[in-house]
Amino acid sequence: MPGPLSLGLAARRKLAVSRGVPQLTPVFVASASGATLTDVDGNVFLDFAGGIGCINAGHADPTVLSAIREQSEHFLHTCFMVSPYESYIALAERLNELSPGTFEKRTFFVNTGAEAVENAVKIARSYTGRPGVLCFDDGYHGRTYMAMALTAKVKPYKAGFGPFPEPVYRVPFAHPYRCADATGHSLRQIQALFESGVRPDEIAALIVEPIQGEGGFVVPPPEFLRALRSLCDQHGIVLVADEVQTGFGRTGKLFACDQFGLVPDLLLTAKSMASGMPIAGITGRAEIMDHLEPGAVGGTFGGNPVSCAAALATIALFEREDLCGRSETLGRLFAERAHSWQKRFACVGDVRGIGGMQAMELVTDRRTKEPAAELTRAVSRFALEHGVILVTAGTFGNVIRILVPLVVGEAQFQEGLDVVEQALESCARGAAR
Amino acid sequence: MSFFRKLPDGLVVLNARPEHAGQLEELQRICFPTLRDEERFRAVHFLKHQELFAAGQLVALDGDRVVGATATVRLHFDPAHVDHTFADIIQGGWLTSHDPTGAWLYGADLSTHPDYRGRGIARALYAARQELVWRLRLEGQVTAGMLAGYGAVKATTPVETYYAGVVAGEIRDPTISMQIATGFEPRGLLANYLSDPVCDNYAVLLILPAEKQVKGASRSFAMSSIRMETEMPGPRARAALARRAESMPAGLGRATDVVVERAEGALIHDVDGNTLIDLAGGIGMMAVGHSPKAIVDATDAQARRFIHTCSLVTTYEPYMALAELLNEVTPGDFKKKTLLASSGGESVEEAIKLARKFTGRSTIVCFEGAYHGRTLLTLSLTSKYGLFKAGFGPFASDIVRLPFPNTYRRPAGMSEEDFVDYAISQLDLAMIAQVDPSAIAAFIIEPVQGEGGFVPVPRRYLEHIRRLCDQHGIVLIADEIQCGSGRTGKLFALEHYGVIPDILVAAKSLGAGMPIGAITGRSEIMDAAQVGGIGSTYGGSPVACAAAIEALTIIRQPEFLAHANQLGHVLRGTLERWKARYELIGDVRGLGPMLLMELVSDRVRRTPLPPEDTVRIVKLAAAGGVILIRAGLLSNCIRFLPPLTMPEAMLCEALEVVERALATVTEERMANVPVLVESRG
Repeated sequence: MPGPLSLGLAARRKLAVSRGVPQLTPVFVASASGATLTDVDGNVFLDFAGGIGCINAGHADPTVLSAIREQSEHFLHTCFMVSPYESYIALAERLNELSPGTFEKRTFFVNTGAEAVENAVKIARSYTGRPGVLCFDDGYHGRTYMAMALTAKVKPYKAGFGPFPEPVYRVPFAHPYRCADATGHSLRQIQALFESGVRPDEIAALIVEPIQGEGGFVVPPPEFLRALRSLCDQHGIVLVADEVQTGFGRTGKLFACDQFGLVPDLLLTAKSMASGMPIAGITGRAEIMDHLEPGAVGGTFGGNPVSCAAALATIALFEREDLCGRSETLGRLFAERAHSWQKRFACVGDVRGIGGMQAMELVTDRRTKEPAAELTRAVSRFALEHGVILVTAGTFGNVIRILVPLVVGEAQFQEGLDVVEQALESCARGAAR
Repeated sequence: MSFFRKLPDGLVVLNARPEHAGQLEELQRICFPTLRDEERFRAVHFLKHQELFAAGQLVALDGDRVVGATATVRLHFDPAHVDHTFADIIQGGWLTSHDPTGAWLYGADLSTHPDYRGRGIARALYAARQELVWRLRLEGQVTAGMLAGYGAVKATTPVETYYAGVVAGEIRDPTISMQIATGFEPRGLLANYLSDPVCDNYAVLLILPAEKQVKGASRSFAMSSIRMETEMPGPRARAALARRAESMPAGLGRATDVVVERAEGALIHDVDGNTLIDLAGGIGMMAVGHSPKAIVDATDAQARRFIHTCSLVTTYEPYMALAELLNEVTPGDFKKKTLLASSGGESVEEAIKLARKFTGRSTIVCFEGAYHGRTLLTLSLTSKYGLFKAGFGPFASDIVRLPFPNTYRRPAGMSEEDFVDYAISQLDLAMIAQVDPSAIAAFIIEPVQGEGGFVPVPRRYLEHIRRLCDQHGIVLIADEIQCGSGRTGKLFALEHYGVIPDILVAAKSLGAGMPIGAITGRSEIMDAAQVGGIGSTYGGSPVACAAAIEALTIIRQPEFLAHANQLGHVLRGTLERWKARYELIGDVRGLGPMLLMELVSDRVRRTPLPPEDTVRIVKLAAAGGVILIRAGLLSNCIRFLPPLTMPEAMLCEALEVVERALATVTEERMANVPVLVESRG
């Protein structure tokens, strides 16, 4: 690891591909199936990253593959705005039906989470006639300019690329591990902003991830999101739930909003919607979505038919295999193991998550909660060397997150957790509390 | 491509479908009671025939009832060796004698229900077969007609005498005489052709050469691609559009009412069975045509390996191979690197990020009439306010917008050269009045503006920009999303100019329909971002990369580009002819086959044609079976973005429809007829 073929390919990558694209692992993929990846040298890895949360439904499901084949034989693209097709409409209907909220809804599709975020902002601005967007510390919404403006972490996502679109306002999220009265603190900061920074009637939208993804799988207290809902209702602000990473079963329900009893005005989806085929959705209240003039939104590729077909097959797979149920099971299994690690290793500062969206935050000192970024990197390296692909998260890079495909077998999952445990043993100075 | 013909009395002839198999078996029993079981086709046989040679199996329907049918195969026919039996052809009923390369169409069976005799069904089926011969460019039809009247007279007449009498027209044989009247030429007797006392096992070898006309067969119908069976939109399309209105926002653009079922090459088959010719290519996406087999196979093979593992987490061959290919084929001899994204808009965003980081500057210079995407930054760079931007601001800062030199709209009386000089001087002025070059990170320009109306940038103007960028360390970004990937008859539009950009952005036709965008440029610029600063979760989707590699391979073939240029030649010639004939064409312009006509109500003042008139042309064209889309800042242009693999004949067929639409609108305008929004083809 990396084997000889991988090394050869590493040299080609260096020559051909822009240096700024990160390479979180040196794995050169040859094939993938279920919850495993095989590299070009024949090494088989447990994939706990799922291509950053895109593979909840597993790699290479036969029904998804045959949907892709069948659709591509019919047509690869016609541009929905020029000549529509059934699969787009059917997928829109499904999302309208499955998403939180009993009101009439509309959906349209773009290609990526970032594009969904950009469109949500456009829609909210048009609907409210207001310019401002409210977002959160540790939030991540994408890498196109408006999405970047809403993304909190400057390095590496934003440094050197400015200026960024305005007006964007940032307030603290509710991070219970790092803040005693997390909900209260955040709401007070929002109040303060509204008193001295900007009038609430200049805010078009509030965008929030029900559980922050890149920010470190931060699970807010349940009352936090409900309080945001009240705030938005009070001030006529469009509440945008970014479920790009939390959606499609990650938290044990199809959408995280349903775990929190949150009904957003706009819901954004991407990643696992189509088993890794590029597509993203904006779903929302009919009166908000219909406020646009014809032609105001769209895009050449958006909702491309092959991705729509893959998405419909993926949703069917979710229902057939009860992947949401499996997500809950995985969550319980992880929590059990991770809490035992928390007892054994002082570095495991926090174990958190809902359903299959689980993480642990590593610290050098339990009292000060100083982030242990180096240790986190070491754990992830160890895991990779022992056959488990893990990705990290958190503003300070000290969170190990689980994004394993929900189809992973229980034994397989425990095998992967064994490796994480060994990594902790090997890398941490483990001591009982 | 499926066959469909309505007969005058309401019967319909069309390609047989699996659901007809049962009735076809029944028809055989009724029509051929004297044949042995193994000489009659059963339902399973008919299914096999459709599998082997769907186009050659036809049925005549009265409503849902099968009342006539014909089964054919393609064969090589050797006039020197004609002796054969029915069994040789039907191969136990399976028709596996079919040879897909065969030059003749052999009629293995033709039957009409006894209750429907005399209604011209047999003639209609022979005509349909002749149209198939023309469409497939075969030598003709061949069949063995049963000497149906011979069995009754065999005791008293030698077969040669009977045959001669039938050929001379003196004896009327119920089957052969009708076939000769249809156009078949008798070529001799076949003994023991099959076992049937009615004809004493004798058949006549019959040939119907392709040169011959057959009553009821239309060469132009056979050769045509367009099939408009319903009004537009038809019933199934209307149902789908109603569902669309329920589930999707009103603001999502909709250029046509064509609801797609299938597409191949340059043809789109809608859900009501209509076939239209696609001159829009999904907004310029389909240079290599819809669903070419190589691309479908490549995407399928890649999906089976893996659909997504994320280019930020892992590395994979398709990303690198595509990056290497783009680094090689894009303009410029210097070391290059590539970054992949999921759309054109995202690609432009990445290019801007790199330019700002590389130069340490923030200002971006863009042009009026430009279109770069719909994300906030690219929307800020995009020009057409009312349609794309209203209500979505405020927009990104540090953007300077300059007029794009559109020679068609130069001041009256000014020569083209003087106009370009003027534009250059205005640009130089802007470099003082609006921004200093030392503050500019990048110029972004489409070598041929797409949405703006296929306006090619004047060469001297582009060269001036290149010099300015060289002088001041500004990054020149060429947006070739619409004009690249073969669209102008060269791989990239800039190849027509000999100007090398620092960064080139490609998308649309690059992926043959799959979502991908590429940013390729000088290594030092592409490497300027900090690690983790660029890239995205879906960027460089393996399946899309696989499609793009195939697409680029196809586009780079000299035959592809030669054909594209030939289409361009035909198209431009046609548009110029129309311009001479129709007052409402103000300008014909573009580069290679990327062509467009700008419509005006006054040629001198260049007043744009009212939008409803341009829309009417598009709607009339759709009703006639051609998909077109508009363009232009003033929404008064009709652009042509056909699949560049389309046969010339198909392009001509489509252009005939467009011309009829132009002629109709011209007449209506002259008569001052109020413009209708709906139309029937």
